[in-house]
Amino acid sequence: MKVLLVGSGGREHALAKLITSSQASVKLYVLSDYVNPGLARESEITGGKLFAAATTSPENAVKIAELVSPDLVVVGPEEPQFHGVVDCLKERGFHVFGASRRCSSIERSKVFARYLMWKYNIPGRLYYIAFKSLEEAREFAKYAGDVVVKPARQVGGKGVRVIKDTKAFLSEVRHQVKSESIAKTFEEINKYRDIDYVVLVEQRVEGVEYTAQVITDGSSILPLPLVQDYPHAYELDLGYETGGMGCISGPEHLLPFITHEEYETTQKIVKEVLEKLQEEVRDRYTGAFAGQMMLTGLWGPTVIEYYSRFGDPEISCLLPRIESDFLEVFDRAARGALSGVKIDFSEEAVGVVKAVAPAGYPVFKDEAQGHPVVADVERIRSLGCELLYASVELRSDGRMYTRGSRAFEVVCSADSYEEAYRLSEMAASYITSLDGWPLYHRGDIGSGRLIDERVREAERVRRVYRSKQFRGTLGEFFTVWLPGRGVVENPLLSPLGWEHED
Amino acid sequence: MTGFFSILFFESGWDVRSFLDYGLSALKHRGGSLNLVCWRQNDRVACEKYENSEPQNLSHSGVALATRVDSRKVSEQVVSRDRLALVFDRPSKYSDEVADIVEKAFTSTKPYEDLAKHLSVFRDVDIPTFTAISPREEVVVWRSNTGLTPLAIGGYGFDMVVASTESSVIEVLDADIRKHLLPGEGLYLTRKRVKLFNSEPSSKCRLCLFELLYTARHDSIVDGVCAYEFRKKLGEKLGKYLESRVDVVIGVPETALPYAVGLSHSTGTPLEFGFVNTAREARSMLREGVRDKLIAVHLKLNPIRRVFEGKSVAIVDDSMVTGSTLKTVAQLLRYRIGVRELHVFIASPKLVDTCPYDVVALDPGTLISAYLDDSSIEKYLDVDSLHWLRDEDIDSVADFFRVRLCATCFGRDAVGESR
Repeated sequence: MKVLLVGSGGREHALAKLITSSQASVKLYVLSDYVNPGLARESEITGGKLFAAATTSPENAVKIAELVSPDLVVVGPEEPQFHGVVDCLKERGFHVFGASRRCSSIERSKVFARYLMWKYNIPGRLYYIAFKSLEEAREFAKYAGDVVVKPARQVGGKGVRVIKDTKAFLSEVRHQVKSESIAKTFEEINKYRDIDYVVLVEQRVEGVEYTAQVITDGSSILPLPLVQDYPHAYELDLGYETGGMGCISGPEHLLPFITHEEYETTQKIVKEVLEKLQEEVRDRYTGAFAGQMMLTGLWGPTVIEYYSRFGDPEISCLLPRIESDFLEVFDRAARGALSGVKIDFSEEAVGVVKAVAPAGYPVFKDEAQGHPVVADVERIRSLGCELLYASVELRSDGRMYTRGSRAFEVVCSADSYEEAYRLSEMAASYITSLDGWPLYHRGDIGSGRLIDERVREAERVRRVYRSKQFRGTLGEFFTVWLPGRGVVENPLLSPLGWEHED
Repeated sequence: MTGFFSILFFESGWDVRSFLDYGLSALKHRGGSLNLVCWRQNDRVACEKYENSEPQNLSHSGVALATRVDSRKVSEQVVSRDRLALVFDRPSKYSDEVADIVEKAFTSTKPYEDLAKHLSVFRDVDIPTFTAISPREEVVVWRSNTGLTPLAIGGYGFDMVVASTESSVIEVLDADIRKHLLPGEGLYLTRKRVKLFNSEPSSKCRLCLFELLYTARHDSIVDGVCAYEFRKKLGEKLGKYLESRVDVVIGVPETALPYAVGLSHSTGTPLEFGFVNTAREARSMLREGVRDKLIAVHLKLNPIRRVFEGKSVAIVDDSMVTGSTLKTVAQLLRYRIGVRELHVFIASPKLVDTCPYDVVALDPGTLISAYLDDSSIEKYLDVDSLHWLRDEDIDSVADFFRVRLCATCFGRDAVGESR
């Protein structure tokens, strides 16, 4: 079976491993933005090939697909989806696992995602307001209080400012930061011409984040085990927001701090969103879909955002736990034949992933790129761990160089977090730079201390949302009594409807 | 022990001034009359001392530190150089050696490894908890290798880290507590690197009992222990020393209030609010001169007459140093108000020695319980009875909270876990 995989990073390396571990005889071709050594190797050993070209270009994708005539195309990242790569391939008759441009609106436009949830009263929704003009947004932010300022379009997790504003004596200085952040977001997002609203201001919530990933052919939905991703760059949950410095999963379908009931509620939300999304955009959703969730005092399971693809590095965390033939699942999803398919996981095992990044990531990427690095693959494998290549490229001198983002992921699995953590720490230590440039990873991901902390935090928010549930006020928060005007509900919710941007 | 905090901003655009101002407010209760703030200014570190005004030269900076310090101890607690500002939480005779180590680490390619290595040299010496900043916008915080004084790390969203000797500073600045550092543990911070490091802790690690007993704010979390809960629990232990019924329990404001709550709960005696504070400055025990202390006591203890008149009163305090506060209270209640009986409960054992670590400034010549027996102190205070917590009470509460505490000034090496 010939498979063309579109994408360049650690997530795609995980997908490549899932594809090539199939029972079927596979020839893997890859369209990647750069020569990722991991992807190059995975394709070479199957007798396939890596084509280095822009993955966001539908012309590139079609050209290579026509050249290799794949039986299946798997599109990993969101940007090719936004640029219509999936649609162009489908128009030419290829079977594609990946969301179409219209379906991927759920990730591309955060305003659309929020609008959809409000239109259909889907639980787990947050109050929000969206802006097209800088001045309006700035004026609003002055009075908005405790909010999150987000670019209305997905820009690789960048640009989110969580401005916690619960102390009036510090509010003035925070207004200033909010205002500057909004201006910066306008500047950043104006580079993209594919959305209408620019800035989203939404209610800030606190709690424990987790990712719920599913695979769908548009009617059947196969849920995958929950994963917790760690967005802060540094240990102790300090520092910049990144694409994810690692994650944990298991045992079973849960996480140590999520109950079975919360898991079921989460799956209901995801299912309803997928149904309404397809209704709204009048297109069939084929591929991976994920809810970036947070257990909050407001709702219990609450939606922070959606991904129209697998999370990166969330899918890596499931790599050692998946027992089913995943290529068959991809193929059947792409052909609309998922009904009756079941995905088996090792129930007892837990997974720990750690991203290893060059110092300077995520903000000083110029400094973080161009450093020669080496990974002792044999020693990592001898621990039973996998090494995934992410933002590293193979150059003509035969050496690997950092590209400025997360360079590698180590993926370890064991019967306990204690053991998986120990293995992951050892595995991460086998990656070094050749020019002395510091590499870093988070030494606390997977540790008992951090898991215990999340358990405590989940217990705190669980008390709050269960009390709201008992009083019948789940989801209600922003009810303001204005003297002389009465009770105003949801002052944040935008009165503006979402219009299709196509 | 005075307190300090340091801040690093990951994102630009933050004005550090308000954070320093409100953070220092949250340290006021620890004493020290002088505010000191340091920040990066171009290619050097600038510092400014001020009392009641505001810093005049403070400019935008990605890093800053702040402390309140006793004006007579600045030279022993603060090292200010062009390439570094370093502040200890108490006087240290090793201040220059430690500053040299940190300054050198700031120029190293692996600063956290150098710090871990070189600070381990002091394994058998008591080095106070410290923080330092550099002109390259680096921050180092390190907890004393003896663990006598605490240090907590907090995070605010994706924007800020704040490290402080008192966790309530972190909460006041709207950040969340992420870790209580262990003895000998440090954190090196820049925008590009954040790294915990460990130097060799002393073989004799314990937290100062006074921190939990008196110095920390009631809302502070010290090594994972809530100061208020610890105090209330000690107050409950006082209940067994109540010999006859009293009408009312009163705590000497404000530090003794949780102990009074505990005594009231354990004996079923009503708790009353007895005094109104006229001044809002540092605590009386931390005042520098005798006259200053007396003024502070008088200002903070304006009694609510009807609460006391004709009643049998149990008055609770956290400790007794010179006895002057309780003497003042006793005179006030007995002669000006007219209480029927006055029983004093002290929520700690007797203070009998000075602090060899300079954590608490105690003049051995003035410790009343080192010189007088109970009946003499009763006479001096002019009270009907006087009760102290005993060693076994402190041990049992320390064990309950799983902390090991230094009690040298109470005449014991350590109390609590594995003592």
